[in-house]
Amino acid sequence: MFRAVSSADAVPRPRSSLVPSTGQDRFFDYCLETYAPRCDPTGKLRGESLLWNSLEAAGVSEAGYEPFDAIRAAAGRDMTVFGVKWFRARLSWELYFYDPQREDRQITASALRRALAGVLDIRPRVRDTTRYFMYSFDLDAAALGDGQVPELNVYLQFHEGQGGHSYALREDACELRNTYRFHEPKREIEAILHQVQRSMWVDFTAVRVADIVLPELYECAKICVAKKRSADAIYYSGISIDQLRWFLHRFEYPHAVTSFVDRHRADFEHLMFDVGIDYRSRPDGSLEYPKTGYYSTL
Amino acid sequence: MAADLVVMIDGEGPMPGSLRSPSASPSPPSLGENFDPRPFLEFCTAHRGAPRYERVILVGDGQPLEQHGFALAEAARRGGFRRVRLDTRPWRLTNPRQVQAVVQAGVAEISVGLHATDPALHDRLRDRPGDFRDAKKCLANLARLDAEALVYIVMTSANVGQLRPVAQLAIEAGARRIDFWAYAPLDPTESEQQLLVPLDELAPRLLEAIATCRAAEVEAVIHHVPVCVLGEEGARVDATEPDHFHDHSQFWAAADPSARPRFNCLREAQCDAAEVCLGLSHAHVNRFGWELDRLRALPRTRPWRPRDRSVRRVDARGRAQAPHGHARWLDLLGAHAMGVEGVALTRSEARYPLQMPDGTRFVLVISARDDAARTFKQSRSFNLAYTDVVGPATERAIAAFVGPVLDTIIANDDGSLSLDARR
Repeated sequence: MFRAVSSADAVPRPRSSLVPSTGQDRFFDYCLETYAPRCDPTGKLRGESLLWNSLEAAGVSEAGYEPFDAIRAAAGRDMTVFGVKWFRARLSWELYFYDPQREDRQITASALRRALAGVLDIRPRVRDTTRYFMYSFDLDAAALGDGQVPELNVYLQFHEGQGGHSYALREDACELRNTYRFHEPKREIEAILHQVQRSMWVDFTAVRVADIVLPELYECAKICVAKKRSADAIYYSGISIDQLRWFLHRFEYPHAVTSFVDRHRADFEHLMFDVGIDYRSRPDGSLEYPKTGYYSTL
Repeated sequence: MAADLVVMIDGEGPMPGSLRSPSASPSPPSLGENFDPRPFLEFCTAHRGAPRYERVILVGDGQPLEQHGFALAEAARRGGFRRVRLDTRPWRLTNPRQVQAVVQAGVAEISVGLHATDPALHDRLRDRPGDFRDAKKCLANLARLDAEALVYIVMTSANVGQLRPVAQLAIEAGARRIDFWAYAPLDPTESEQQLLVPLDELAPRLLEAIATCRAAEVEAVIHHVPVCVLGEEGARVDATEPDHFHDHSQFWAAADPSARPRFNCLREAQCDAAEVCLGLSHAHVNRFGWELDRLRALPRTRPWRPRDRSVRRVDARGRAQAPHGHARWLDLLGAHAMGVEGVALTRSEARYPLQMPDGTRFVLVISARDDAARTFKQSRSFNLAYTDVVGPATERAIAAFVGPVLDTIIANDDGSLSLDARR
């Protein structure tokens, strides 16, 4: 039942999605905050295996893996958060780079831009003096093909509490995209409900809170409520592999993803995962989930 | 540790609070034909010398129960369990001689599901024609013998109007205890969802049934109903779980560990009953919402603590194993690892909280070796220092205390661990 990851599985990526855990692994959530693994990681898989599986599921060619290798080489092992997004029946990816204390000069947006030159062309430039604590960019099949990154998401932190604003930065434009705030689910449930129930996108006369604050994911480390341009969103951080499996099935991810995670349930049980769900009311009042994503570290 | 130990003999027996046996589920665990009784028989031998459980609950209804049931019951009786309970389907216990043999083997308690006063509804809920008749016969047989009949009632939308008469029927049939279970299906079908009952409909009818038990001086226990909707009877809620005898070659090798109903309450951290109340089943929340208008937090009188979400493991002797996260970083401290409150790995540091005998607390910090940086000591790969001192100790005393810890790190650092993320 608890299948050991044999050395035979440790074929160098990208040929295999199975990357064994090592004694040096560090464990971070999608805010790059550390957590203790849920059990002994020996013989299990690294979270990055989910990324490689998603690339394989999306049919990304061998060359499409190169940007991810370059990103890890530049940012360091375990230091990049990746999100696998499921939107309009297509998989895409977002890479997040955190350094709120500016401890690492190689991870500023401009340094990463230089480090990835020749592999990815990050078009927007952001001043190093801008007091962002995180930035990210999206990659889809097209971007992996042409190496162009036309947009950078830059995140500015609130003074108090965990949360902030994000801006979408292009070469010729900058606009506010999202605001979001993190909460401890059980101690701060009233704040979560307050934020969820104040919405321009959801008609709560026709939608239940239980369809947003989902019982299957409520047992988690943090909940983040976000307000976006065209939807609201809720993020559950620090969920178990069984909760991730439920999420992937509930939101109808491709079979190549769900079956991979089901098959390797025991190999991922030491890890915590994070998921996000965009939601809004349809014209008929019912709730839809236009976009979802799951996260781990590379 | 729980007082009860469950031994799953096969997948045919009734599960607590369920209407059907596990084998009736869409994807039943593969149990049964090759049940090996030896691990439990060996466990009984050890348990006799150092009893840990009060009760063993044998669950089964298939051929393995027929083959091994008597031996298991006798071994349990000799093995230091004060009570031996059998959870099987009632058709096995309709013959008085069979019941007598079971009791003589050491079974002192038998649980019987009774879900309606009319046979048609009971049989429909059990999905087994004749089950009501068998349950009544079984109860009649138990009443004649020195065995306790434990009746359980699964509360659904179909029988919620009959709870008091069903309890009365059970009492008249000799029940010594009645367990009321709110229906909590795992991954319910649409028809199963229809069997769920909203709290405002369930609670008053349940309280009427409890009053009947109270009047008859029959013990009543409630499962899967929030404490806060039951008033004084909330004290009857039992959210404990028995331990399961793990024989990985059998049931647990086949069953999906996640395949069990889950519960939550949005008021958990604010409610004094959080430690004794499960809240609502996920199936219930998905049908009726979080019932925020009905659930109210009982003011807490003590701090609330989040649940431990580490994966529970037990070794071959049933002892709980601690999680081994970051084991190599703790190994770096050798025997001193026993004195730290874990390790937190950040982007650039490993941080170990420590406490001195005089109560002074500080954090031992190791970071990537940097010969240009000021530091207390250095090992092959790391700068070693301490910070965040809180307490009365002098710098000299702290240095004397932390010195042996740092020396151990220096001795153990063979270069295989790194805090340089690019290596």
